[in-house]
Amino acid sequence: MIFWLLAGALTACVVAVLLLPLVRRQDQAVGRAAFDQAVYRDQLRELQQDRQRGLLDEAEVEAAQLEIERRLLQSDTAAASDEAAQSAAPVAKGAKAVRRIGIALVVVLMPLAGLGLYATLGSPGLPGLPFADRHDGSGREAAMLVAQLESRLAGDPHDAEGWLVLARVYERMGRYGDAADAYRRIVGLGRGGPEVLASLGEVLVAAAGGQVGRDARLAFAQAIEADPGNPRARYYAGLAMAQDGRLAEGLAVWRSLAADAPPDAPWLAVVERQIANAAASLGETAPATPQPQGEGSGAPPRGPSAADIESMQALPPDEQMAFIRSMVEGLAARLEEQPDDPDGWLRLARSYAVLGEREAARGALERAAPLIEGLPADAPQRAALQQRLEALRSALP
Amino acid sequence: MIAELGHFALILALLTALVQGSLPMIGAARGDAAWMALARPAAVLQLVLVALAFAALTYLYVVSDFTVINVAENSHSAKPMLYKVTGVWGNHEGSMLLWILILALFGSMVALFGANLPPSLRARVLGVQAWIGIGFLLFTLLTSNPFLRVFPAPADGRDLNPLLQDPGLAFHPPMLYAGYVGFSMAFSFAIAALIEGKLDAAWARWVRPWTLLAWVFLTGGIALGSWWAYYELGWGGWWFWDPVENVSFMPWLLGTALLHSAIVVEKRDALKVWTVLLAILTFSLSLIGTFIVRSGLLTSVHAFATDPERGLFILILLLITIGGSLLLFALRAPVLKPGGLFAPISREGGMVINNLFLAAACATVLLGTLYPLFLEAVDGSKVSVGPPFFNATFVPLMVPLIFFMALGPLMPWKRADLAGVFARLKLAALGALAAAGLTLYLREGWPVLPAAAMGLAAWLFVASLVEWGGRIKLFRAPLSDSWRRARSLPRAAHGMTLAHAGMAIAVAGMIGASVWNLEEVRNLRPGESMQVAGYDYRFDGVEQIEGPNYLADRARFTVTREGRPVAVLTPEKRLYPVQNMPTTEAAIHTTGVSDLYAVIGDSDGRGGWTVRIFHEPLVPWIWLGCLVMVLGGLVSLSDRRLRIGAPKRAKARPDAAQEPIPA
Repeated sequence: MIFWLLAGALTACVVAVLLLPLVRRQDQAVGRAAFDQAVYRDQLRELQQDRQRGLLDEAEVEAAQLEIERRLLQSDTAAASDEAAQSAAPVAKGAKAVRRIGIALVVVLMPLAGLGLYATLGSPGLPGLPFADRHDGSGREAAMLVAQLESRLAGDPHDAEGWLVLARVYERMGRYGDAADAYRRIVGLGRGGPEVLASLGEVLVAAAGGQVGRDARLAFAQAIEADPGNPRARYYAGLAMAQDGRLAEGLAVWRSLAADAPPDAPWLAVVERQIANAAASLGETAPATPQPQGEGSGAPPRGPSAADIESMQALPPDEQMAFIRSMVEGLAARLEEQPDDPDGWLRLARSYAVLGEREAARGALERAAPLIEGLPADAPQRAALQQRLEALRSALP
Repeated sequence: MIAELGHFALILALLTALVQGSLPMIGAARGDAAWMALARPAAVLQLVLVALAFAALTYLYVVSDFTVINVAENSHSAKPMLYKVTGVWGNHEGSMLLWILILALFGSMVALFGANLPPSLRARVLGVQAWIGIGFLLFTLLTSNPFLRVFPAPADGRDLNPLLQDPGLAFHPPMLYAGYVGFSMAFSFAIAALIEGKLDAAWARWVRPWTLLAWVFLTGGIALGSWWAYYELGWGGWWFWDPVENVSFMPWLLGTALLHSAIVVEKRDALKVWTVLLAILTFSLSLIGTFIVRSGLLTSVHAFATDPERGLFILILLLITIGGSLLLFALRAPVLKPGGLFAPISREGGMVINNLFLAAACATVLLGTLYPLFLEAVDGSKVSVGPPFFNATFVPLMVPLIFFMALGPLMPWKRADLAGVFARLKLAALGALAAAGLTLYLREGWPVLPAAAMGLAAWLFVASLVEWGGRIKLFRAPLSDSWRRARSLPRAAHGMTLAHAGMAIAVAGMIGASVWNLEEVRNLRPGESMQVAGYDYRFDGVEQIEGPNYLADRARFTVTREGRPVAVLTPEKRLYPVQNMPTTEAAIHTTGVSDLYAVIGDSDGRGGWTVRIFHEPLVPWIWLGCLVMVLGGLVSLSDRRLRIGAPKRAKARPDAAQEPIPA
């Protein structure tokens, strides 16, 4: 409320200041020539001063004086025509109407436009929150909490739960380096599950300004080892590939991640955005329409496109399941026709695993294994495929 | 609420600019005094509104309100107060706001002190000024809004780039921007003159102080930036021909040309069309300087904003401003009446030479800066245009420029006697020979080129003093008489002497720094010492210290020369944990003739440390010279002659006794 009062007062002041010259009766302005003449007279005066100081000799002074006087004379003629022009056309007819338009513009349009712009851009009603006044578990309170935790953990460094809380608080405060240290402590205590490992990797990435560095990769690899389905670790593994310039591989990882995602996963939007960006920079036009399924389209088999996933999210749960099944069957059918695709078989195996069909998953893995074996030893994708194969094998009891 | 008020004030500033850019312009075209008169209060109002917004943003930084995205992204609660405040413009959005604030400041200065301007010209100048403001306000509000909010707020901010956490940041950007924006005045005057179709000596007289003011700020800003790079980056260099440096240097070169050609317009009513073109191009380069670093075309410490949407906006803005003004120039320049004639060898001729060389130098820098960008855009190949290119192209242009710089002030207007001028420069030639000889004597290995270069600097320095001495009849009249003459000499004359002499000092510094700079890198253990250029540096060791928001290894060097203590240097290597970013803090001791410069590197883990020692002869002269140039500009600016009185209304219309405009 106070804000609206102040904003209103400010607008009123602005309108008033702008209005004043518009409503006040203006005298006719001094002609332009008079201003020029003031400068020329000044120049003449300076010339005399310079001569008195002995800076210029007589010939120079004379020449300059002549020049300035000539300009002065020209200006006088101009002044005369100024006067004539002014008396001939006092103020054009209809000037009053035009002036009213100006006044209306300022009085009506200014406040309306200001309100409109502010309504689109501003966040009215969102109160300010200086750091010193914060009571939302950050600011001073967070600092106190951190101090307490730190001193407690100094006495009892084996408290993994304590380290976890501290790590999360550090992370929230943006102290990524400290958060990473805390997560490492938990891992060191033998309590680092896939989530902790993924968190460790994530804060390392944040600390490195978004770059997936060596330590972070190690953490994600360990997380995937412990839980091949861990979405965060898989997401960052894809990011690491993309940052290495292996965008196509990263894209494949993200697509399989999106395919495995529960439809209400909060991170799905992020993954989809990455997929769309990556697909766009690879020159694919994929997301707009669903890929034609199977029928020897010649295109390499792909995972579900962003549009597929989007349309899937709109379905009720049982239909979603059916949709996923239909996609998996489409993939299986395509692979039967074009079996020389280890990546596709691995994806099929994972999909079956997610659907709980272990036998089918194992079958798909068995189809993938010889294909990977058959790849040349220096094929760029070989190591990654091999890794995924191992991960899937160990995930299937 | 403060954030929202600041936001609202900024929106009102945009609307005020729209009014200021339209009604007074129409008023000037229709001869409507009321609408023309609107320009002045609107310009002052702009300043008030933008200042409100800026104050609001500063407050948000000071109290660390992280509901404001801009604050959360660029500040931190533990940051020292100085850097909370300087952090306001240490980021893209805030620096745009600063730009607009300075623009509004200049606009309101025309409104407040421009009583001596004809109302129609003033209305148009302020109108054009408002157009520039509209462009920038739209850009800021729509693509770089510093007042956007986030809720819930992040627990703490992401901190300011540690490289920018330096007292230099308090002054360098505001100075540089004041320079860039200052040239908007010359631009607005040029556009207004083109619209009016009238450009005469009086016009030049009004433009000159603004150009001079902008030049002073830009000179100071560039010097501060180079000084900052010198002590903060820890590379021992002071100028890297980095694109970001170049884009600030180009408007300086053209602005310097403009400064001189405006004098010719004022005194001789000649070179008018060229001067208008220079005014347009100088500001265009200022705009490029402001924007090119933000458009993502160039990446460096300064590239705050790399965002395609902004890049497009910037491109359109540049296209409209530069393309539009050049189009207007093409259409209207023929209307401007040509003025006075002059012989090739004359003061005017000297200014033309100055302009030619400065413009050519600017073109070289432009080519060297933009060529890699174009090449990359065309076939994707990356080339780096570095010091070798500029040494081969820019430096040869500077040599004749400096040579002629000594002659120009000695030549009278209209036509000059070259033999007479050279006769007066005997002393300067002697000084040049002495400096060259001294260089050869002091330095081993017969350094012919550096000696010639030092001679050139001395030539300019002595010639500037000779000209000044001649004016006050130094040593040819009794000292008291000379003193009296010096007192009555116009301040602009003193200013010119200072600026030219300052240039000579800076040139000497640049030569010394680039030719005789020494660098030694060693691995030292505490207690060991090394010798550089006759100074012994004993490495006493490294201690860990904790700053307000950083940790640092601080090394200690005791510097002695032939056993006598000279200085204690304490370079630091800092780590800012929030951004996990190390910075170096060089330790510099200046003797006035050279700098001793120490940087501490990494530990080798076995007790040794990488130590870099630079010996930088004459480097302090670079900034001393710049300081003298700035001083010259200020002295010149204080000349009473640049302040012309307004014509009294009574002179024009005896029937009315009031002042023309209620102030």
